[in-house]
Amino acid sequence: MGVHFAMSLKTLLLFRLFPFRKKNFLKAGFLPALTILIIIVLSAPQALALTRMEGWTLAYAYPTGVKVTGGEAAISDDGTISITGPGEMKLTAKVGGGLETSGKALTFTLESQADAYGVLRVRSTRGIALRRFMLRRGERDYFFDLEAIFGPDDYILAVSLDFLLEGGSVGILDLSVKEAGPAKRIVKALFTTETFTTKMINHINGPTVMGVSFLVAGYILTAILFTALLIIFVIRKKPLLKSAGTSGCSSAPFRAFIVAFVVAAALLAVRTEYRWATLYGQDKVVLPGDATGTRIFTLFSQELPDFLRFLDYVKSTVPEGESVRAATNSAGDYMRLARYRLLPVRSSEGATYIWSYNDHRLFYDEAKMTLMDGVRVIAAPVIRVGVFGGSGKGALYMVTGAPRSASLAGGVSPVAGAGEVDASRLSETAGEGA
Amino acid sequence: MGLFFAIMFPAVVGFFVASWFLRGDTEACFFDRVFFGFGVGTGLLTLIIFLIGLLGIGFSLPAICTPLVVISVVFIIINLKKEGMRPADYISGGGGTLFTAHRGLKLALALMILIWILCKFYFVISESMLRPVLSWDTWFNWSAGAKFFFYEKGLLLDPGSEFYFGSGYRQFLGHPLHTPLLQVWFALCVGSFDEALVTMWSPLYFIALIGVFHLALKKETTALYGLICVFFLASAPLITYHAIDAYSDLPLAFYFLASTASFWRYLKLGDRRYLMLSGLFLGISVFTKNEGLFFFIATGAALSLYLLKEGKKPLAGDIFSFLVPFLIFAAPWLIFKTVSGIGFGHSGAGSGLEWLSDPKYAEGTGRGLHFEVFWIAIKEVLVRRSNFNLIFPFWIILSIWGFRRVLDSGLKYLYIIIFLVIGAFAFTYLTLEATAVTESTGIHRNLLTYTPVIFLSAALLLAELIRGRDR
Repeated sequence: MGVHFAMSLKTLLLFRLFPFRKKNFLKAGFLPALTILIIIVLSAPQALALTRMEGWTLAYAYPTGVKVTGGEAAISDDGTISITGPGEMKLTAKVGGGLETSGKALTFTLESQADAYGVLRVRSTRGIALRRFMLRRGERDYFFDLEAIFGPDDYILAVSLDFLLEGGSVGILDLSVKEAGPAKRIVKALFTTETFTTKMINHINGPTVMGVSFLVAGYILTAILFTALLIIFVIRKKPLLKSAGTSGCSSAPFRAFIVAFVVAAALLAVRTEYRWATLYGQDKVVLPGDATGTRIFTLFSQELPDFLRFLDYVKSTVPEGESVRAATNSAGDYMRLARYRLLPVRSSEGATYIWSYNDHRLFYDEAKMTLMDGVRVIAAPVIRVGVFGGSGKGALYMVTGAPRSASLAGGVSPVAGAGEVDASRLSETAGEGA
Repeated sequence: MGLFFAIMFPAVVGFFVASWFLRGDTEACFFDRVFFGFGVGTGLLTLIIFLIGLLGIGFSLPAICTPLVVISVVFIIINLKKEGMRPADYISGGGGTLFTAHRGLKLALALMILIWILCKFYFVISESMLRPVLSWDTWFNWSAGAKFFFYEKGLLLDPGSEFYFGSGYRQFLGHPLHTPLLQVWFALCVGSFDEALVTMWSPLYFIALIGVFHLALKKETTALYGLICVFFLASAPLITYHAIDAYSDLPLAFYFLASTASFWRYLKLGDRRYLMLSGLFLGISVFTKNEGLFFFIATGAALSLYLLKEGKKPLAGDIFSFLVPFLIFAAPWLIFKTVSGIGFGHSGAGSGLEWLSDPKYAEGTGRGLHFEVFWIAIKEVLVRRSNFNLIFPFWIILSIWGFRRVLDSGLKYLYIIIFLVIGAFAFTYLTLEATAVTESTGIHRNLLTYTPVIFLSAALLLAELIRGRDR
């Protein structure tokens, strides 16, 4: 079987794969060779220029920062965020620790270069509130009265703004805060909170050539080659493939199809391998000096985020056999990452040690040995074991007696007089902003 | 040293076991035993760790290695006494080598591709040793649980515990354990949960996948043809990307390819041991990802059609040959899932199909049939992403071109498998997981699991057409 196949394969491989003999190589192979050369010459600068820019997978922003889907975001020094992109765009942010909303309104100044539909979605401790509004071309103020939606003790956990540009047109949106108050604080929380990115494994964003994806460029190349080869085959009018048997593989279209795909696929493969080679070259220089656990952040953030240094501090401070818990649990993925990185220190709801990070709402009353979340008691009596970093963003506490209450995620015990949070009172309103 | 042991121990155990399965195939060579053996060995390894965990025995090297040593000794004895396999027989077999089969330019081309493949292997191994757990999905879905099991030295199956079966660390308790337990194994051997070294099985699956693919083609065609096809499979970007991260789709792709290659060999030779091997790999695939059940159903259906069409009697022998090895590997996990109420979906017990009637499911996409996924899927796969090079348009056109040849040959059974798998995934996208397509989250990874089989079917069909023989 193998020998027979080899004899047949011989007719298709190497020079025989192409519609020319060695002696008239230049003449017969001129057209496909010229086509390939032109495409390589045209695509090489773009391909090389994009090598460093191309994203290999979705970038994932951790939710205490801003996540932009469908567009690109840029944040200026004054806190204005610009979103650029076609069609549907989404700006999502979770507010680390939550922000109180009592009696305030959100006022945004939005400037858009195109009309769009917008949805403001605010998730709080009470539920989700939606405000749909028309985003008009130009600079306008949009007013969202949160007092009507949330009570004085509610907390904003996440804010998102969805924009849908009509007709998939490209739009630029500048988002800034008009007034002080919670809106300012929300945006401050969005824009100043530490973010870092990692990758997702779902797919790879390949390079582009002259504005089209490499795959589409491959199709174009395949089509050109196929057509060129077919013309040559037809002109030559004789079977060049001396294949045994009666299959259709001796036909000119079949040969053109195979050759065109093989050449195009080979070019794509070589380009891909080139990218992997450059990646390896970078990694070999950048990574070996780092500890294994920090390399991913070296790759994506250039430096280890402060939050992860804090977790290392917690891990090294907590005595062996003890477990920890977070003071609040509002930023889900941060918590997951924390649990993972804190191992072998367990994260348990009944832990003696409590950590907090970048949570402006937390207050530690040293005199009463009480850790407060706004007006709610998280745990008492507790002592502060230590504060991490000069900024004091992170802290570690130890419950010295039996814990009076669970963490926020496990059900917060309110102080006397304060009512329980009623999660069932989901508030959803729809209306026109501004 | 620990890393070397972590790799070699399951590979050697699997080598002896796989040798028994491949004994009847004179074309099977040393590397067949190595690559198939790696898959068998790692499957046995994680099955043993899982059973140890169910029994409440703490994870340790002696506890894990002892049963595997016993298994390998049993197979060495069986191979010697029953099969008459001498040490030389383990390294012999197979047809001509690259150097004996090819000369001149063909040999030069073959050597060029071979060098490229070796460079590729070096790249994926080096990158895996450099890069830690890379992607958010990987640590979120697989590594967090693995790290927790490693430090707890067990599965924590106390129902009253807040950490039951990794709760709090494993987002989806219903996700199978093959790759997390592989990470546990590597960590045990290395002595710590080194985030780079615990993922070292990933490039090995890549190498094994390439090896199985090449050898499956070499038996049917030539070494050079196999190498050319390997070049295109191995350069598929998403496969390379998965080879340097520790997600479970690449191992699943390996097991599905190994199962299909075994099934194909069974169709060719009628050797039931290949059918057993096919069932065995499918059993491990069920323990690798829930989608493994799709592959089992598809292959089972193709086998049923084959047996009915060929009128083979008695049927029981073939059916049991397929089912028993499958159940040996899949049953412990499936029984455990059923007993403990862990489902197949993303939440709680059940098959996941109950979501069809759950109005709260799929927030943002809504309940119902999402026919829009078809167009989005076509755009994603054929235009937008170049995850698999040009294989899909090539395969589609080639299949149309060689339609009659497919029908006239055993290839139709491979196509039945592929279409049933595509159908199963399409059903999922239409009903339960539309976001896998609309948000481009799962479709490409799912494709990765059966794209090597599509490569195999395309390569075999092309070989048939080149050969130009009417059957």
